[in-house]
Amino acid sequence: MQEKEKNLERFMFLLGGIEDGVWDWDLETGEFWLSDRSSTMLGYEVGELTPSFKTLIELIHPDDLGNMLEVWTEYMEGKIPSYCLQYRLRKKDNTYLWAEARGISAKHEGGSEPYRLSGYHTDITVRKEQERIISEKTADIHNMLHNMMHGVFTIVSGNTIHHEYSSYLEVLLGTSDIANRKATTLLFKDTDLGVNRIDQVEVALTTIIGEDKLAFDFNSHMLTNEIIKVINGVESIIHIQWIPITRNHIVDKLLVIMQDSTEINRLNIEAKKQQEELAIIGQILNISIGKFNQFIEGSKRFIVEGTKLLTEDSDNNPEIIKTLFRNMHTIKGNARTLELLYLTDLSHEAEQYYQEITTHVDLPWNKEKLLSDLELVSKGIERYEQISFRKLGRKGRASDLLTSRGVFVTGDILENLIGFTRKLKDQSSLPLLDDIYNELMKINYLPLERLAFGAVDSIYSLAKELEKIEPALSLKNKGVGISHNIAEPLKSALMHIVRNAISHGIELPGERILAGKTEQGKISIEVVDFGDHAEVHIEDDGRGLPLHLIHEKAVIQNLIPPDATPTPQDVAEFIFVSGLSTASQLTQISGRGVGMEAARTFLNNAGCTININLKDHQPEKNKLTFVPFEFVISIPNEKYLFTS
Amino acid sequence: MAKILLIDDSETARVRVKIDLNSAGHVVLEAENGIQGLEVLNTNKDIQLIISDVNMPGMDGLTMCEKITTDNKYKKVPIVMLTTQCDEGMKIRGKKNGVVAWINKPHKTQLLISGISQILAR
Repeated sequence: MQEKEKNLERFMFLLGGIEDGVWDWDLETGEFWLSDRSSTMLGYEVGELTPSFKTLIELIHPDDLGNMLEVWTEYMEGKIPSYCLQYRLRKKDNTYLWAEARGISAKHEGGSEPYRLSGYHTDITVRKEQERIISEKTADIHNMLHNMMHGVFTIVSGNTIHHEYSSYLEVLLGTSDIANRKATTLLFKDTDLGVNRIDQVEVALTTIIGEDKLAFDFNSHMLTNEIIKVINGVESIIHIQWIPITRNHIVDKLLVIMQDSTEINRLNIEAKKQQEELAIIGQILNISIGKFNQFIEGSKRFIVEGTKLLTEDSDNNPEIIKTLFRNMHTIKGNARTLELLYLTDLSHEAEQYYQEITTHVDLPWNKEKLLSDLELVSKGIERYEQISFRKLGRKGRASDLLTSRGVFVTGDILENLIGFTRKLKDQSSLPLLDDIYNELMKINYLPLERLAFGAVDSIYSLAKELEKIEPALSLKNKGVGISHNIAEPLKSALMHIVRNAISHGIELPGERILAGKTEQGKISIEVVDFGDHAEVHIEDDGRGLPLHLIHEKAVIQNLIPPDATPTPQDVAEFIFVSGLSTASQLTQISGRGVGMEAARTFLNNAGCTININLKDHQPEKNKLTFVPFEFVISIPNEKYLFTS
Repeated sequence: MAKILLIDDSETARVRVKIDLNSAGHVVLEAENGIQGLEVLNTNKDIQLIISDVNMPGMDGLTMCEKITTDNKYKKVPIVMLTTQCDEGMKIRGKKNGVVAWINKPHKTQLLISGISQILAR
């Protein structure tokens, strides 16, 4: 008795406390009982729901009902003793609650159908939501794995690859037979890794997986981070990341991420080259043009000398090494002083070998190494030279801009000196005065070569860039010295004209041959003295001025009415108008259409004039077509000096 | 900082490890095989860590570990094994007998030093 009551007490106590909704059905009497919680968990008041099977059915979500009834049919017929189901129950507010439903049954001995059914519902709404989130996240991860351009996988105990991996891995490994295969076999197939190295990785994997994270820390360096693998016949650089996945400090598995970084590597190399170039530019800009060019020329001479000595020598003359060492030491010293850092390293290395040969007298020379060391230094010098020349446009021979002991004299002082000396010369006839006067003249009046230097220098690189044959240049100055104070405008005019000649005037070799000309073009610059003025004539043997195109452009730019009939000379004058370029492309070199106007302005400001003369050769006088021409720069009396 | 017992039959191998350990300020005692190792361990009660090769003549590294475990007269210190091979059997045997980590040869200096520090700090 007491036991029964106690049990009842226990049961009621428990029932009051649990969160599940309990029900009980006596099939013999038909009595259906619902616990209070059954109602309240659905938002109903106690007693609001009619305790019956019908009520239960009505509360179940229509989509879940079918399955529930199927199970219950077997359940009620006694075919299954219990069930566990999930379905939605409708709450009082018409929302649904996910329930896990369990039920048991009791049969009389020997009976086929139960006489009593009993069960409960557990609210699993939260759990269901968590499941939904997990499955969503899993789907996202699968999506990522399926689409990412990386090979992502894990290596588990036994050094095999786990069956969940990114789709792209199949591309990187060249097979879809990956799951449960040995990682090292697949990873390092068709790679540059030797058998020994692969074995090292295999040992490392065994040492790390399944062990304390310490093992990874100690041995991760054995795992290779970069390999060259042939994928689809292409050599690719593959970057590999190894990440230990730990649980309680033990490395459960290794996460591996493979990336094809061929492109990135290429970009990195490019970037590094750019950086180096910037550094070199910085180094060059710190030095004056003259000093730099002098260094370059001197160093190049040393290299040439050294190479010659080495190639001509056949009996390992130790004097040669002495010379090489001396020269290289000078290069190194200069490079150090000028802080041209990449060259200091290169020259130092070359020096080291000379040192070695000198100390170990009986050591046979490795001539190839000697020559290739020189080659390396030469290439380094070339690199600096090219950057200075091309990128920075710093030209000019050392001797022009730097004298060993040079003095900078302002123009007016020089002119004064010349004036004084001339007066003295006129008043007396001391031969020494003539000498003084001539020296002053040399300083004040420059020969054509000096002025044309920049233009001449650029011919080579320009022609190369445009794939034309470097034109022959003829410079005739016929004893004329040009005053330094018109040097600048004259220099830049010459530069402009010559550049235009190469880019627009002189044709590609093929074209020239078709026109019956020699492959190599010709540019000529000539200075003539006329007594009261001097003239600089510049012409080339290219295709000439495109008068028809100039006319077209002028019309388009509203510089001339479309119905006007200008003479060829009128049209030619348009090249001095800013903005008028007939070049179809703006090349780096010219074609901007500002040059000639600027050149004319500067020359005019300096008291000179510049004109364009068409060479008359067309039978039809006024037809606009390609016409050969020459530029004529006129220099007034005071600005030049004619010496015989 | 700590007294470490280094056991390897190859002098070259010992020197490499010793230099690295010394550079980190550790004092290094050496032995050429398991038997010698046990002797040194017995006479130097202040040894804090053992680094041992596996394959050695006389007595190999794992056997030495077993001896240390079973015989009470040896102080129980953490053991790190140096090796060029590894398999499950070795790992299990090591784990049962005081081995806390395996280092593959050739080791990397920085990793060795920081790894040792971690172990000594525990």
